[in-house]
Amino acid sequence: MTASKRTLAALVFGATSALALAIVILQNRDDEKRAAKLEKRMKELSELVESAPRVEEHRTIVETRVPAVAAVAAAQAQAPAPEEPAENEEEPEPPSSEDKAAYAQSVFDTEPVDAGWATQTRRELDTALGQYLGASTLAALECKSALCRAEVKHASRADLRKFLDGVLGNSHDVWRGPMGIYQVEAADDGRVVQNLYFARKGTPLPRL
Amino acid sequence: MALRKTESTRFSGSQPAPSRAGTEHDIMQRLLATLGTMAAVAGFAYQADGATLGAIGGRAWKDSDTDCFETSSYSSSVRNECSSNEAYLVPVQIPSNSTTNYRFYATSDAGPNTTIGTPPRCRVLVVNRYSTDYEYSDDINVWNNTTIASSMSVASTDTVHYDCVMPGTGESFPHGLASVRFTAL
Repeated sequence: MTASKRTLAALVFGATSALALAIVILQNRDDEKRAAKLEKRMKELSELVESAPRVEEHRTIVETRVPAVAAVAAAQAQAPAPEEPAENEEEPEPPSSEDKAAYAQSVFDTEPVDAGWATQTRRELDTALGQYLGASTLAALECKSALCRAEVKHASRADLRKFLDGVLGNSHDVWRGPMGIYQVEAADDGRVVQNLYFARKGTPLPRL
Repeated sequence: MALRKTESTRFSGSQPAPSRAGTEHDIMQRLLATLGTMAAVAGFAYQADGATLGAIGGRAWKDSDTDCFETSSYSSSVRNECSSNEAYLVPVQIPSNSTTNYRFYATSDAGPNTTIGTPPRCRVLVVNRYSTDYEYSDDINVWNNTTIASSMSVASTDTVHYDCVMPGTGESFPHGLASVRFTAL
């Protein structure tokens, strides 16, 4: 390579580097401007959330979660119309545990009884669930033709956790068909009631 | 290589909403883009309507079983090297902001059209945001691209896992789990 070519190559390299540096600097300036704008908007939203009233609903849902949900909902109700609707709209609240259990119960209630299957399956589930009950109580267990329903009562959160660890950690041994576990009651003193639905293998679990 | 426990995948409820605060959001976007590229290179990738994940992204259900799971020396599948059957969870992050029906698949390392030996059995577990509701699909033998659940509705706030029982070395020709996949319907 001749000296002039080397000089030309050095100049091109230098110019390219300078251009890249300029682009980075400009981009950073742009980022700073956007950051300041968004910071201002965040501050406004934070003030709005702090001043918003809380919505009291879904009392049975874990209490630590509800205030946050309620505060956001109240803030949204008071906030001015968004500049870009549709894109950031929040999903409607999914069905509650009570609604899911009530739907499964409504299907269970209308199901005919297959005496042979019901008796044998009830016995199997009684044994399978019994392994993980600990201090909890199997208050009800009934099978029909494609669904079984159990009600389990726990005296404390510790009992609930122990039962769930056992059933979830050994779900393949407990039941091989579809299965739904719903917390339908939770008292302040730690007592919890769960409804469990077991669908016959190959049949769907009634889900909302 | 023994798999290490990946925290925060055990039914910890909903994932925190993505931050939209100023440059942090931009940084997150860039970081996610980079991670997406790396993920694609590594052999798994999320798309808006579904994803395929290597089974290596999972973990033992019980901490005491963590050392049972090894990656295969000849493929990227995960195998249970303990003698007894052990439960294995593969977390799935649903890339949706609304309730959507999904179809879930899984593939064992038995190879195409191979139906001998003992396959893993998998089911899909959907947990609500408060960790109060647990819904399981049917328990299915996993062969090549097997449908595990043909349609399950998943809310954006739900947590989804593949819950698999992996055959131990005490079974005849135990298969590992190669990958899981889901698509929006």
